Order: sequence, then C-alpha cells, then structure tokens
Amino acid sequence: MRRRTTSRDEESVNLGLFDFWLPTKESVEKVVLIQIECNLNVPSPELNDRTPYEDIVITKSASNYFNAFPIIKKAPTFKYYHQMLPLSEKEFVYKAVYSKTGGILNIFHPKIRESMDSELKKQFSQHEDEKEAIRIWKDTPSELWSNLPSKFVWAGGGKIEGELLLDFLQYLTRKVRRKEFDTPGDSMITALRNLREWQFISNEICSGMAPVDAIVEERKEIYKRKSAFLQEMLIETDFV
Amino acid sequence: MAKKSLQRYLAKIKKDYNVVLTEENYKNIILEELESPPSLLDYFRDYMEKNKAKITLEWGCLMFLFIKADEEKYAPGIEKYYRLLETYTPNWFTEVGLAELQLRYYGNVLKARDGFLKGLELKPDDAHCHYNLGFV
Repeated sequence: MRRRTTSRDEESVNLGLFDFWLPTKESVEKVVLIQIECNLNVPSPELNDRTPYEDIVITKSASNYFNAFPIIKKAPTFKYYHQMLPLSEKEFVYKAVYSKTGGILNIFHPKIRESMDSELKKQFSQHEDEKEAIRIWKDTPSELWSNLPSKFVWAGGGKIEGELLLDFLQYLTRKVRRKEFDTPGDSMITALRNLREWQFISNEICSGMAPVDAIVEERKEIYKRKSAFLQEMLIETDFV
Repeated sequence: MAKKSLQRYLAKIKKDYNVVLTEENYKNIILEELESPPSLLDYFRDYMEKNKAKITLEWGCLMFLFIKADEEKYAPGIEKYYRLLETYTPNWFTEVGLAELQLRYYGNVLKARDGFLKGLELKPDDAHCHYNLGFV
C-alpha cells in the first residue's frame, strides 16, 4: 500500500536485559500492563502466600505489596502500578473486563470498550434479567478477546503467562530483526502472524504445551482461586 | 450538482483508464473489472439484480474507481470511494476492501474485524472473511 503519514510508528521496549521490538506504542504499554496483571496473581511468601491481588483486596491498600517488593517503587513502570492500584469496587462489576489487557493473546488489540461488545448487547437484549445476561456473557468465548471468555480476561494471567510473554517478545524480536516495514499495517500483520504462529508451538516454559492452551489453563486456575477468595470474603461480583 | 460529479467521474475514468462508461455498459464493465473468482461475479450479478432500482451510472463510476484504487493499493482512493459508495446498498467487495486497508495499511485490528464481519453478513461462508477473522 502506498504510505501516507502515520502517527503510530514501531517501538522498542526495554525489559531488563533485553530490547524487544513491538509494532506500536500501544502494544509497548500493553506489555507493561500484562506483566502487572500477571504479577498480581502470583502468590508469594512475602505476603503470607497470598497473591498481591488478595492482599490488596483484604487490606484495601497496595502498601503491603509495595513494601514487600520495594523494587516496584523504583521501576520506571511504577506509574502503571499506581494507576491500577489499589483495586476499587469497580473491579467486581462486569465493566471491569474492559480495563483488562486480555494478556498475550490480545497484545496487539487496541483497548476494548463496552460499546464494541456485541455479545454483551445480544445477551442484554435477550434477557430481561441483567444478572442472567451477564452470567451467560461471562462464560461465552469472545471474539473481542481472541476467544477467551470474559471471566478469564477479568481473572488475568499468572506466572506462566508472565514467562511466556518474555518468550514471545524474544521470538518476535528475533523474527523481525532487520526487517523493514512499509506501513503500520505491515508491521502489525507481521507481529500478529508471529503471535498466531508462536501460540501453537510446543513450549518448554509450559511443559511442552502450546502457549495458547497453557494460558487458558492457567487463567482457569486463577479464575477458580479468585472466585473462591471473593466468595470467602463475601464480596459480590458479576464474575462469579 | 449530482450530474456535475458524474461528469467528473466519467472524465476521470476516461482520462486515467481510457474507459468510457455508459448507462448501457457499466454493469458489464464492473463484472469485467472484477474478473474472478466466479463466486464473486455471481455475487455481483445477484447484487446488481436485487438493487437494480437503486444503482445508477454514478454507482458504476464509483465502483470502477474503487476497484482501481484497490488494485493499485492506493489507500486514499479506497477510503474516498468507499465513503462515496456509502449512499448505496453495501456490498461485500467494498466492505472487505476497506477491512483489508484497515488491517494491512493501518494495522487497525478491530476496525478490520468489524469490516470482515460485515463482509460475512453480506456473503455468508466467505472463506476470505473467515480466514481473516481467525487471524485477527
């Protein structure tokens, strides 16, 4: 395609020891947010084997978490933690899903808004009882989220997805090294094609499973743990 | 006013592509320009039949220019003629053409997805749309 002006150029992101290539500024930011989402779901001895998410819900503050991991406060990504935490009441209503990233499988998707969610609209139009509509919607695989159901998007990823994220970024960066792109679409398609390829290749990080299966499995477990925790805390949520 | 723009389109087509579109030949020329596959030609024969009361020589000019912009991968042309064709009944070719532009030129995954979904509504079971939807 003949190129006109564009405001979205390729980006590189530095995460620790490596420089990674990503097709847009938006996806760079998403990588950071995915890492945070994953970190919030990993239990740690510093928090009495609770996940940061659980600790933050219990204490209604992120202080314990930040004190247990002071490195976070010094990291350039701290402002993103600050934006996301502590968790508010909004975290427990169905709309919370639109503030989530959807993880690696959706790394190149722009931000999703409720107005784009045709499945939710469909359920609302078919059911008078809003709760029933949300109950069906949360379990339905969504095209907006690469076929993840909303409840798994809301739950977030965990340790394995966090490690897979770095693996994918290395994979992508290797694949596009020294490649030149004519348009933003060209670089986006290359990135997407590599993601769809990578997600089906058996990966040692997840004991030989395909990343897509491992990601869904882990999110299932995280969802179960989150649901049980919120029920125990007597916190009502649209997602359980 | 509308006549003026029609004259402009006709002149452009004559000048840039050495083709003279008329009330009598524009439907055949569109089919010739689309070339293949046969299912696309069948789709357009059916589209033109169903919309014969609505489509005009101006539609023929705009479709011709859209097809040319699409062939030349000329993004501003694809967008311009898509917008001008919006007053007519939507068709698979322009919806998918714009979706391709959103994906391959702008990298706008969700706008592309919406376009491929529209394409599927207009031509159910279309393999091209299914492939691209699986991809995005």
